[in-house]
Amino acid sequence: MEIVEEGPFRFRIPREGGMRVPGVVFATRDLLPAAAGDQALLQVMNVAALPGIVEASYAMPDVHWGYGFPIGGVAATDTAAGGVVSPGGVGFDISCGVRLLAADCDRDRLAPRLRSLMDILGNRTPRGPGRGGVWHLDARQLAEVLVGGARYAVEQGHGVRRDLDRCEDAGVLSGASPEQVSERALERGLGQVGSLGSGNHFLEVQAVDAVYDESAARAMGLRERQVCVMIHCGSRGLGHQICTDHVRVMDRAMSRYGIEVPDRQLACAPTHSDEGRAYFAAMAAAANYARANRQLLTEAARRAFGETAGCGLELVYDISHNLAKAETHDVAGAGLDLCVHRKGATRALPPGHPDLPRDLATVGQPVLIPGTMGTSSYVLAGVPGGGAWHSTCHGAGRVRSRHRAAREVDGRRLRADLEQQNVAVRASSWRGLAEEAPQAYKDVDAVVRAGEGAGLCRRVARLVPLGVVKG
Amino acid sequence: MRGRSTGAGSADSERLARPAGHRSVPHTADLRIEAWGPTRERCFAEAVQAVTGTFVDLTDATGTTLRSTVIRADRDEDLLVALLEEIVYRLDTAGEVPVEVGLTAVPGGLEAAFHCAAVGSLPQTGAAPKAVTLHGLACDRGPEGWSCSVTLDV
Repeated sequence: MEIVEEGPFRFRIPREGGMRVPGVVFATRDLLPAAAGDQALLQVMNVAALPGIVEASYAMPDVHWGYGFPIGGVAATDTAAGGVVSPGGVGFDISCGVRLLAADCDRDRLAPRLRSLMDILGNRTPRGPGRGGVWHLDARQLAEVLVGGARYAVEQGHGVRRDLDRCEDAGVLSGASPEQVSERALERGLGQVGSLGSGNHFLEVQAVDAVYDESAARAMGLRERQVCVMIHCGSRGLGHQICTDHVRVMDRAMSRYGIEVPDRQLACAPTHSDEGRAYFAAMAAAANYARANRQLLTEAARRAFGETAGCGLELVYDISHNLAKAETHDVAGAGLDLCVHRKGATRALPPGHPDLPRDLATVGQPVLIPGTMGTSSYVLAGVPGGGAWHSTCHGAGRVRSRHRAAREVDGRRLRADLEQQNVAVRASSWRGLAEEAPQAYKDVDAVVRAGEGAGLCRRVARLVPLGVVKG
Repeated sequence: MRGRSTGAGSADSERLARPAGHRSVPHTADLRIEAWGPTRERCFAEAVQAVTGTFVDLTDATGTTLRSTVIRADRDEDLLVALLEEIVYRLDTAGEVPVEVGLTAVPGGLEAAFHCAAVGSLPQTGAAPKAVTLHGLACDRGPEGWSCSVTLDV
């Protein structure tokens, strides 16, 4: 594999074999995947072979080895030219994303109440494997969630109208069809609305540690020393089952469309095919589930803050990092309708974009980048001319496998170390905690600097952890 | 966890006496497991054990509920995926984890008897799998028996 350094934050993988476009990796040399056996860059090349892909197969600074698509991959296909949609380009956890809430108190005021707040959040936030969610639904209500997303949750009293103003797509992705969701997916989703799940998902109490852009931070509702809550989760078992189901359908259908892919997890179908449309309708349903899920966890966090600290929480923004969207972009002077896959990558709309909330129009879209338990998280904003279809990173990006992290890190010791740094930890299991150790990830500061250096985003604020509830 | 298997042709294969086993191997995104055994059913039972062993400690577990199902697929590797998907499905919908699995070959597939325990009754040791991927999926029969490898999303 040839990798050409085109600039300080940009590498190109020239076309070869079945690649229809080159690969472009936004990173520094230090951030390029380096672990032995890591196939992330090979996966960038594999994605470049998808029918209808335009411009490049992009990778963000946090790119790492996924399955089919790399995590941190962005690919757009031209829908009018037989471009495909690939469920693997969205990922299993459809509309997995990050929500940031800003408290009307600062860290000094919260400090004496932090332990009891973390205990309540730890006890009341459903997490870990299996069933359990704060919202108990029947089948009819679940169907409403799939169509109405966070808007339905707010209509049912689980939030306020302003929440929707600060959600991507106003909290509901159009085109959802519960009829395209299998019985098994519905069964898995029924008992999990309002839950974190496990793996790298979390609810974290944070404080604004630095502000880089005062006016943007003010417009978003952030100021120095302010307490925040970051929630990272997605569409739980329902989204995973939808991805599973539709990968199977496309795996079988590809030969009818004359499509061959180098990895079965890249199974795809033309966006305008029956299979493509069915996936989009089911994907939108899962996206709405994910938004409702984060809305319900927001309500639970608000209640905990109200009881322990007597302060409220306002939504800064809610944004997905696993999604495919129909978007129109300028390609070689022509406006093309594209299917933009972001797998572990975040949309980053520039100032002035019509899809922004009015009060953020001059600022650009907030981009929420969770770090790791012991490090910083970031609030970024979209920039004019941002590359990769207005996309940027989504997190720190793994460098060590869960296997290796669990072998090298003792979960109890990690918790003690974090407590020493005044980060209160409420874990589901010691091994699960060890798997998410900060050293298992890239340096989030370097990832964000690379994103900014590559012209994908700009920094607005840095957040530091005060307490974490781990999924 | 214990695995049991019976199936057409298994007696011949068992005579090859290939040891059965499993392990997890590094993958930066998720969980990758490998399993092997003298027969397909034993190999797949080891794969089940490999998956459950990543998130719960089954050392002292006892199966309290029997769940039987027939799984069919055109290819052995897809049969393996479908079998492991049953673990994920039962965990999400019933909060159950298979402590022991009995696999019997049937035409076009497998009959699986899962002896399950409630996940809440078991020590949790890691993040649970949420899906089975097709990335790097392999299932091979060699002169010494069967081997498989599969990547799971956690």
